[in-house]
Amino acid sequence: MSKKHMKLTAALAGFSLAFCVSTTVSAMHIMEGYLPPQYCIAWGVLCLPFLVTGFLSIRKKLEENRRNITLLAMAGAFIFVISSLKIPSVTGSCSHMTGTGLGAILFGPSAVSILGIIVLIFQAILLAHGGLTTLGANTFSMAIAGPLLSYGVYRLCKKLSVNRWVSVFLAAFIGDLFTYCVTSVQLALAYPSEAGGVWASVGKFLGVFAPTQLPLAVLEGILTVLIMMALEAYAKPELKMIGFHREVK
Amino acid sequence: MQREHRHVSIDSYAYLSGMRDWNSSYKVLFSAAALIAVLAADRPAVSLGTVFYMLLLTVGKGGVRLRDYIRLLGIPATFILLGGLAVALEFSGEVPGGTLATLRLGGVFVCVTERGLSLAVTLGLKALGAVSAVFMMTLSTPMGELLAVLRRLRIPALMIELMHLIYRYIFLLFDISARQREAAYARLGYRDFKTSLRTFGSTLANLLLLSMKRSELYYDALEARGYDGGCRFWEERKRLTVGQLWYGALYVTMAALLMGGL
Repeated sequence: MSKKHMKLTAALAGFSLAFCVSTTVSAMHIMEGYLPPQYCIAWGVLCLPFLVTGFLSIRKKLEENRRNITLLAMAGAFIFVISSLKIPSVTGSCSHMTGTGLGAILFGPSAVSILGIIVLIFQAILLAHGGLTTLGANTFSMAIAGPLLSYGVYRLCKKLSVNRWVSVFLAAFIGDLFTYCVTSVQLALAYPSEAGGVWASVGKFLGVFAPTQLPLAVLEGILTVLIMMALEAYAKPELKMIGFHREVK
Repeated sequence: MQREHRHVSIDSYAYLSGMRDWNSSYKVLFSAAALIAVLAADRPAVSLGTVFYMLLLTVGKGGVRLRDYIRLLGIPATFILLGGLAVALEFSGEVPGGTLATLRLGGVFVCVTERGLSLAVTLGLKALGAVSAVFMMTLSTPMGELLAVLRRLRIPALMIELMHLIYRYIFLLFDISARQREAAYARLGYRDFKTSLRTFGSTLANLLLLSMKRSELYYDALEARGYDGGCRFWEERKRLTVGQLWYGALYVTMAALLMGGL
């Protein structure tokens, strides 16, 4: 390889890396420092009842069977890992799943609230996604509101006997969209528009993040369906282990 | 650095840092104080001051390579850019006062107002300042030590135990996932977009399956070592020295001066 060739390759690699970094799309974590202190505290307080409920349910699960501790920890690690793996993409941008829908369907919304806040703390510390000051707001949108709605949609579809895969898709897709809407509202409440107030500002945040978040929600839905299909084909006993047996026919 | 752990380079730096022997509670306190200063002051000067102070401290004292540090600071770039855009732009029927630029779209004006622009810039700098304050802590303190600090803050033992285990398992799963990826590549699993999606989905399902199987094994391993419902980890005592306090004092002085409108 000639020197010029090498330089060119290096430049291209640098460029593509820079492009990748600048277009990293994941769940809409609100960045560290982006919310004023009073909002950080308010969202944190709002999360507390959900977290306490989650904590108690996990403790009960462990009292029933101490073996569940490694299972729960693995579930948490799994959510962290799937949310940091790069999704295959057509454009070459880096996007990541959120895993909220899958987590809610597999482990139930109460366990996911606690696992979710731990995963968010690790994302803030290890990956600098999200933040410690915005932990409350992010927990509310990603570990509480999103999973709760996902789970609700999933149960509702089951009651209405919608096709299994359609309901899994809808649960993940709607959960993702809802997380993105909640985050937009959280940002808009802190930074209302000068002319149109909070709701105009919600529109602005929704609009600005839509090009990255809408395709992501669709992909998340498709991937969640693919994962569930593979799981049901190969892993019925394991699904039973994580308490999914109530769902498997 | 091992390739499969590139996701978590911050963690690798924490173990290599020149500030590793600093007292960990002090580092957490320092970082928290800087975070509060940046948020409470809400001034570009304080944010910028924090960005530079933490850069000098982490690169100079901690020994993180400047290039890597700047790359890490770039992580929030997308969010700052998009969020800044949303804050800076105004949509309205008429052009408000203090407008710097307008664009007419049908009957609506898209404007950049002076207030919006300055808010967007202030916010972006605040986010960078806050991220820098946290980097000082995360790039110099391994997770085990951070969890020890949390334990001293009376976070429930069950939470700490779960966090310890999850932290360990994350790396185990990353290793499995890297190997899966390689195997799938070798079989043309990422040949085109559709195949990639299918491969990605089944890899993750397999990952969950493997992780659930392993969790059984790991519980047996815990029990074999006398697990009785509580993990106790060894904690190193790290002394707080006068030298460490100086860095904190210098920061507080700088922040106070900047807040005073120097």
